[in-house]
Amino acid sequence: MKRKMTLSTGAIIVFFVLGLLIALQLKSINENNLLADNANQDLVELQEQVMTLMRENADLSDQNQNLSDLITSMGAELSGDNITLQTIMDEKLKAEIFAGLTDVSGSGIQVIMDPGTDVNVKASRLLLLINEMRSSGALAISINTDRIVAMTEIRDTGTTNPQIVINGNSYPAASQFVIRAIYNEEDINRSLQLVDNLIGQLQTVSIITVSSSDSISIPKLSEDSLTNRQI
Amino acid sequence: MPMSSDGAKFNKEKVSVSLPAAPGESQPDKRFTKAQRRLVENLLYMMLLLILSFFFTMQIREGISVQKQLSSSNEKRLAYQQQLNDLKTENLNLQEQNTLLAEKKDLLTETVLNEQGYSELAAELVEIRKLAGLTSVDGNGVTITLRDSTITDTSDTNQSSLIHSQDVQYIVDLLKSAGASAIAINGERIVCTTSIVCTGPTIRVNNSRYPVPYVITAVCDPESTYDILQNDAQILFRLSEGVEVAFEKSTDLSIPAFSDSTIVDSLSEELEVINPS
Repeated sequence: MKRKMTLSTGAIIVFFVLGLLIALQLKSINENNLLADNANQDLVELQEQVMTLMRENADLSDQNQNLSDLITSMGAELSGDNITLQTIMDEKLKAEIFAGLTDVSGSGIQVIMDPGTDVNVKASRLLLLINEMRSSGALAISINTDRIVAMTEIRDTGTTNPQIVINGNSYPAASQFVIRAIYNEEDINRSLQLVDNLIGQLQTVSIITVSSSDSISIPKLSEDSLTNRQI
Repeated sequence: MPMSSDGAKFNKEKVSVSLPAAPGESQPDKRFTKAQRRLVENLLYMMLLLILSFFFTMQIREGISVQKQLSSSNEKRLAYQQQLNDLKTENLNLQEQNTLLAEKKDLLTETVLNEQGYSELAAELVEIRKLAGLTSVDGNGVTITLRDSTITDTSDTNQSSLIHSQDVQYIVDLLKSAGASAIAINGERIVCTTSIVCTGPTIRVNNSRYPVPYVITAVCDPESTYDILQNDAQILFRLSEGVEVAFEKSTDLSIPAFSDSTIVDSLSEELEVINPS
């Protein structure tokens, strides 16, 4: 009887310890997997940051080298050499292109937005689309005949006769808006895919037609526009 | 030894594993003798202890292997962190150098043009560069700081108590509408190619990622812009959702120039200029 008791107690203890160990094992496997996953994720994130900074630093080094070369050549200009004026004119053209002060063309996409179920086009929808186009690598953007530049305002105005103001010019919100964007030729398909997600959402409230073309023309920022004058 | 009529009895002292009675054979009174039972019990114990020791070993091995993995990944992490810190320091130095060189170049350009009698061209160049966001802009304006809500709400499934890229985008668009002449987010100048995109817990502006808080500075008319910000329905709504939107009038703001000449160069390379002036 006594032996039976001892055996049973022993068995209970052994089973208890066994159960405990199995539970511990399962728990530690889960925890270890989670720990390993987190550690790996941290490492991948750190690696990405390191790579990004390495690229950025390499770009900055190149830029600094170019600036130093330019400064040296300008120094030569001041001492009688005459090659720098062309360099300055090239710099001026680059600044004009970046400021949106030149008519430009290239391959790109055209989005036509018509008021759909919602009667009027909203400025917020145009702003969303512009942000998405920029994010997908657009090099130049226009809405109707207005070039979108760094400080372009796009806002709703009026209640009885709603308008959308772009660069100080008003367009009836109930009219059609034509948005054009020029992209790098190689990036155009990828860009179309990226913009497509947003267009899918916008199509629930507006009628949107998207097309791509090899020759999209975008006008320069008008000299009379408010955006140009207020800078 | 007398045998029972219904089958053979086993000797209790001589223990051996018995086979069950063959079909047709009659069963013994007790299927297992005490010795057999003890044997079975011992065997079971043995197996149990074997399993137990197996699990013990597994647990210990697992522990050792995880420790090894963790220490190796810690070493890697430390190495990457060190590299990252070095790169950040290098980046800061390069940026400082870049700003100085760009300023020197602008000054020299102006000097060269003036010396050669092109003072009008020099003035025009300054205006163009200003419009493009390629020069720093100083002046009065406003500073807006956006922060996530400090109150943690577990029922907030839409994460409306957090600042999103749309909030930053909204403020920037509002400032443009209010007539700002230059805007920066955490020191990143807003230019024609700037997009503001959510990337996990950070937002990306001009290819750089920033976590909260987002400090938006704008050179503009401080009085009228402050009024617009104070009375804006969307800002009031976001404030009611718990996010922090602090704005103040600022004097002597300096909005840095856009300095990534790679992007400026890529635009002039990719875009075909028609009707050049």
